Amino acid sequence: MSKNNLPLAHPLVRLLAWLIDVSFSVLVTLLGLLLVSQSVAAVELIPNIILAVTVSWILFPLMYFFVNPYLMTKFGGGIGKLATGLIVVNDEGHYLSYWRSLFRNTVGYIISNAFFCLGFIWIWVDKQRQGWHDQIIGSYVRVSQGTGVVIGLIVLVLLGGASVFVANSLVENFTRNEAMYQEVFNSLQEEELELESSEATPEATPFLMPTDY
Amino acid sequence: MAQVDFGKIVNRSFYLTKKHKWLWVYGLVLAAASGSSYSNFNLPGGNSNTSTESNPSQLMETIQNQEKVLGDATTWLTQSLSQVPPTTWLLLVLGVLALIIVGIALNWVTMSFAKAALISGINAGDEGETVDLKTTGKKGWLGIKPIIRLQIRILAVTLAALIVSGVGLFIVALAFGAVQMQFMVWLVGIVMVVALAVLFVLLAMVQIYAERLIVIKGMSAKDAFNKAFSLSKGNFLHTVVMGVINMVLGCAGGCLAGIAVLILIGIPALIVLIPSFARGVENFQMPNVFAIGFLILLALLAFAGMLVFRAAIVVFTYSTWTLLFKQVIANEQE
Repeated sequence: MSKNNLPLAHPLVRLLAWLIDVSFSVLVTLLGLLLVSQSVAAVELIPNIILAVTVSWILFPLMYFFVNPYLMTKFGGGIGKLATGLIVVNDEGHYLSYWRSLFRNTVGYIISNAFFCLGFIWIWVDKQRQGWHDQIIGSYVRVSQGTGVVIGLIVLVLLGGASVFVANSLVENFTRNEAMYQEVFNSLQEEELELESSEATPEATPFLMPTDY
Repeated sequence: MAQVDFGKIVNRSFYLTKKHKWLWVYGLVLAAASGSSYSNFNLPGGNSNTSTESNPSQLMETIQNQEKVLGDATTWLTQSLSQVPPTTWLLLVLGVLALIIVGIALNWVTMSFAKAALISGINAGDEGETVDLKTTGKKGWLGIKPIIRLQIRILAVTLAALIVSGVGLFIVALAFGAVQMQFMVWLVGIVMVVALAVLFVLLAMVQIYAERLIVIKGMSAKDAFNKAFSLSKGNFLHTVVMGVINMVLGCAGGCLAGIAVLILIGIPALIVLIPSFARGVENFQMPNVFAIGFLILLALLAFAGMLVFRAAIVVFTYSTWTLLFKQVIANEQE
């Protein structure tokens, strides 16, 4: 069924949807750091760092890259847009295909970001409320639920609250294990100094002649 | 060979570039992608800590000391790394590979889209049609796959040429004896370098014509490649002249833009910074917050100005090539 009769989304609501997406990404990053902060012994630190990097900063972005367009194809939008009751449709009022959604979210965003995010700011001045990424693919962002703003705000507050909670736990963990981090840092510093002092002997510096020393 | 009016092409390109500013969006993307062509000359640095003059026994002692220190330093690291499960390593490697592949694919798709959209926009502008992101976006979307196929084709030819040259040079080096080897290898090497240079210039021309055959004439990558090859051979001189004109105009424009930036941005920046040097260079005083803010704003303006200028140059260059292509096709049909 065509959704062309739905009203166009206000830029502020789209901004809210974007903030929800960003908050979600921030929460995942903080969860990765939380994993690292739970290291109680020096030998756990490196494995936890590698696991956090792999999951939070490599696999999650990849998954988001492929899953978000799928959500857009099936339900009309990613997490942020669904929470705020927005949908992305084409000229005929139908959801975008997977490849067009992927294109819009990647190449489209690159183009909108090309000149100081002017492509996103364009949403405010365009009569059809289209950014550059919308114009090149022929998409429109419409409001499917009137209560989307309220729900979106609640979701944003919840995500923000969760991020604050995780950040707080992070700080507590890092503080609790401060001695361990200090020990690791000190031992690395000592070994670096030892390395420098073993290299700084006159015999180890070829360009210094004995008379120059 | 039919005549090409280069003056008319350049004037028309100026007009199209000035009139259709929506095309500068694609110019921005292409300019950003080509902006990493500057080479960084990293001079080889010597490690002044290695000894060539010292007593051998003292050198061995130094190395053993270093190994002992390094061994202590890496014990913790080695133990930690051994705690990482194999599945995590596998996920990490696969994830990094996937990121690299996605990055490369995204770059290719973006560039192909921007090229197709820009060429179609210039053609539409020349024909007096509407030029905006909506109309050019549709054409750009259709041009992605064939342009990527064209790029793969050109890359394959380039690699094949390099491999053949390398193998040929190796065979020549083996075939001749020690006495004649240097002379013959040098001679064959020079011939190969010249041949490769001509091939690469020809391939660059093929790319220019083929992209336009794909976007404007709707040809497939294979047909466009073959047709472009014959167009390049038949209009070699015209294409070289157009290339030289583009290079000269681009350089001249770049210099003028640089001078303009220097005057418009550099002078105000200097005026703001002069008080900081009032007591001499040794007694440099940090500018206040407002001055720093103003300097940052000026830097951003300079950056924005150069970005816009580069985008316009890209659009202009694409215009000249597109108009040359249309002239060449028209001459061929006559």
